Amino acid sequence: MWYDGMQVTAEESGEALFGSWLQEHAGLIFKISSSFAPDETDRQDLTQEILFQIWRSMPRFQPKVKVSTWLYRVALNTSLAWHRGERSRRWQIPMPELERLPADANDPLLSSDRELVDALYVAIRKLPKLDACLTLMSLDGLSYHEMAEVLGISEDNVGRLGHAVDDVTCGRFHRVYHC
Amino acid sequence: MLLMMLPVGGFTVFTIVDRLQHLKRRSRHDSSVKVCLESILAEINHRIWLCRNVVWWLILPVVFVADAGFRCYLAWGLRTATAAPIDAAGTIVPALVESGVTGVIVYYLFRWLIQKSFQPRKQELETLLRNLDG
Repeated sequence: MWYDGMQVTAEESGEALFGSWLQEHAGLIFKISSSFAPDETDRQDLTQEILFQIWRSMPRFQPKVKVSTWLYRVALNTSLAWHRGERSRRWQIPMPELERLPADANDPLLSSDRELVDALYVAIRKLPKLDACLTLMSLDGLSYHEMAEVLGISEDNVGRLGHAVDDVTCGRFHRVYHC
Repeated sequence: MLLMMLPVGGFTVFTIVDRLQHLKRRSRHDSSVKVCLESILAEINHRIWLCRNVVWWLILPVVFVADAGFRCYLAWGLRTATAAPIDAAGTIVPALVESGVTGVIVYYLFRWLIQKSFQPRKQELETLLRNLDG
């Protein structure tokens, strides 16, 4: 296998790809874990679980899907399946050693006013889970087509759900932003 | 003792086979949210089914055999100690009935525990899937 002009083993290539995805999409994972886990310990636990699931699912990645869409799928599925205090199954598959997940400094959602961002996460956590998923994807600017790919439903259905979520969440986020 | 070893051994083999099968059909987190939720729901339904089997084929037989054996042993011993004539209908039948009542209590207790453990999560997943389907 080749990575960045050098011949590497499949394992090294996988680690390099995993590392580059994390560099590029750390903000996405951080946002999703912050939107589902209520406190720092849970957030770290969920982040680890998401990273583990990404690592485990990597061999099945198909390049026809955008990396961000695929990562959204894995992260949302893991978050929806994740239970507070549930013991992790990370020991089953060895993973590369990871540094603490860096927050994406270029992401305006993370680099802007901390209190406002925290308030936004609190508001998202209060939403029903499906609405939280749609709100996150909507805030990240995913198209209806990408949302449909992540959720596994038709674009029409995404549109219908999106409008319903907008009606409910507009008021809440308006209060968060303007209070 | 042999009567108790039978369900324990049988169920151990059953559980190992079931777990090996389960490894093949584990939910994949890179599939769509809908597919993933459906497989988690199927897994929860399977766990409920598994727990019910544990109750029917492991806990209830063991409880019934242990309880009935103990009661019969006590009743039999009492009759022997008082040198009264051994009356099977008067000794064993009440012991079996009492053990049956214990079995029913244990069954309902475990049924309640299974409901309490899995039902909220199951309902949550069903609601999520219903909302996704519109």
